[in-house]
Amino acid sequence: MLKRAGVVMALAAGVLPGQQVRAQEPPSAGTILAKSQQAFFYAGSDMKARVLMTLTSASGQKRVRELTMLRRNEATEGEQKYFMYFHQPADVKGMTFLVVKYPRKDDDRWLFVPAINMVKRLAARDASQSFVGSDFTYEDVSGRDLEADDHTLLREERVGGRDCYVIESVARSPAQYKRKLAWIDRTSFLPVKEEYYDAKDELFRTFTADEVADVGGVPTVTQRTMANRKTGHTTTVVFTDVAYGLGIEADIFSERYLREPPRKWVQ
Amino acid sequence: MRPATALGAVCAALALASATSARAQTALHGFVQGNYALRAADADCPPTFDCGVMRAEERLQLKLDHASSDGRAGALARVDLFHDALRAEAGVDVRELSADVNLGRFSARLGRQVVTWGLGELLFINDVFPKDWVAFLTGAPLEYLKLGNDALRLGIYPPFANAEVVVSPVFQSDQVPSGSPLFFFDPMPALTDRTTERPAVELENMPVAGRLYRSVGRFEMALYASRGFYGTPAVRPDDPAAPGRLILFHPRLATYGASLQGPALGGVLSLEGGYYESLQDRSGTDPGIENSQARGLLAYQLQPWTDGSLSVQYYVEAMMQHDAYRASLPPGLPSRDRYRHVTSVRLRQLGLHQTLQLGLFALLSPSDQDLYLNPSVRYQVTDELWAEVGGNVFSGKEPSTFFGQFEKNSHVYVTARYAF
Repeated sequence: MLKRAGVVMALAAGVLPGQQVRAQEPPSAGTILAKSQQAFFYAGSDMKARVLMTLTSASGQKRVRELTMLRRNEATEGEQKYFMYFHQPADVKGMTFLVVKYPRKDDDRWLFVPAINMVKRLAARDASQSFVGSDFTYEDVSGRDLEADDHTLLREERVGGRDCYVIESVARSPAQYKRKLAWIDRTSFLPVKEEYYDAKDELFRTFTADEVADVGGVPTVTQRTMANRKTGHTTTVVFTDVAYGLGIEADIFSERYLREPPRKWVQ
Repeated sequence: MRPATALGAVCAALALASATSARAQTALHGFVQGNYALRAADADCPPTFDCGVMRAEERLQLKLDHASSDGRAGALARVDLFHDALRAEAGVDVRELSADVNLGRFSARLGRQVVTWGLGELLFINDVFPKDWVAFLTGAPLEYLKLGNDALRLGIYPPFANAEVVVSPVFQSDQVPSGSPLFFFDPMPALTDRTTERPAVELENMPVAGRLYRSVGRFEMALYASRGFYGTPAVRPDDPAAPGRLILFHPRLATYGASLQGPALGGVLSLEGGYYESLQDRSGTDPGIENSQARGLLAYQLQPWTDGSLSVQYYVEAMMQHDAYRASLPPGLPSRDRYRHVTSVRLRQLGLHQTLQLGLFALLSPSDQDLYLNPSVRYQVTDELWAEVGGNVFSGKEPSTFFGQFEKNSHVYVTARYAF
């Protein structure tokens, strides 16, 4: 008996060190980015947040976009629905926006204009289109298909007190950028910093995760900034009242609720 | 519903909503707006006409929104206080005034409200709700084309489809040109004595419209039906033998239609069709009343490049009793073609972080040989303030066609709005 236990222990001893060695080998760039997208765009079964975007021009002029964002992950792998209700600016207050995101397919987008009570479906081919005039694109808001780029793990380094993987992604399909460098937190898998290089390989946009908070056990970037290095325009986004796993009903993401915004969720 | 009745309903809902809630929310917003239009066409104006200036108006819109704490009840008031320098008048324009409840699979809204259905841009098939063509023809922002409708709207949302019904106790007509500052085609200009007959307020005259809709995959389908009256009036002389007076009236109309919208070839494809049944002239023998019509729309919208959008439309309407119409048309009156074809293109480009918007909308009818052009430039100066300059250009070979009749109303407009 004792002998057998010894064998088991020996086996365990033989296996465990090997596993530890493997654990120290870094995962592939694709695996890291898949985990990063999961942590950054797909956390929880659903999410609600109040989003305040401040757009600052090079001359210092500020514009504000404030919205409630509801997000729900669908049963189909990678599919998500976003419902947005605009609080500010006053001119668009009450406007609602619905986006259905599919992996490897164009989004479906609908906009509701309250002044004429009209729902308009929008053509949405260009994922690198600016989101509400900010420095963030639709892709930045909801994620870009990983298959659209070739990824390489360049190195690991410490940034802002966090151990990070540094990954280079070279665009395979048309994109705003030629390549992107991303610093991804080894523990939370959230992006800490990103640099976007244009066709001339010049740095033109930088993303920074300025604040990360623990929301019910889910590490969440609650403040982020995208700065355009060429124009001097920056956008800072602050998330407040973040919550996950609320059980947001599937039918909220529909024409009916675009026209009749669900006050329970957007107030 | 009279505004007073609607106001009563809103107050009752507000009281109910407030009574049940500790965290009820009320928000006040609105805007101040200046809106001016100058005629940009040669017009031989009679002395009764305001020739140069077609619109000179300031507006203060107040929008009061209230919601109960549980979100199930709410009320909305959107009221414009305006000053119209052209008519030297000031007044109150109640755009919307309604109360609503929203309970799971059921919702209702009572009061003055804007309802917009269908897929066309400025080409309406299944949107049978009141429109203000005068605002459109005098350079008001496009949202003023849609008028609030005093109605009860019920929504029922079972799992398999959504249904909406809009019942209006009193028929509300479109606002159509009737004189200064607008020129329009008048088939009987000699008859200046005119009177308008409105449908009597009774149960059988209540306009009713319904829509049934659902999504199938990434496509959206809808069925529509309505019963009511033509929004624009028909005409008949008081005495066909010796006309002394022209009577403007709204003939009965029933409509049936369907629409389909979904993704195709990287853009959005829209199809809409409808049948307009002219209930008071099924045989088509009364030239004063519209023939029954079939209407169809095919539209496609895409995003050709970043911050740009392009949409094209093809629309056709067919008179169902064209032979009877031709046979009964009095001599001297222009005859309409059996088919009216309309094509349109809209180009829009955003720039400067989407604060600058350049737009061009062109609508052209090869059969009527007329067109409508709307170039525009809009700049969002700050979050609160925007200004738009544009033109509404009408032109046509004949003075009787839909857009051709408005040739002398071509104008440039400027609008500035400060929202709060």
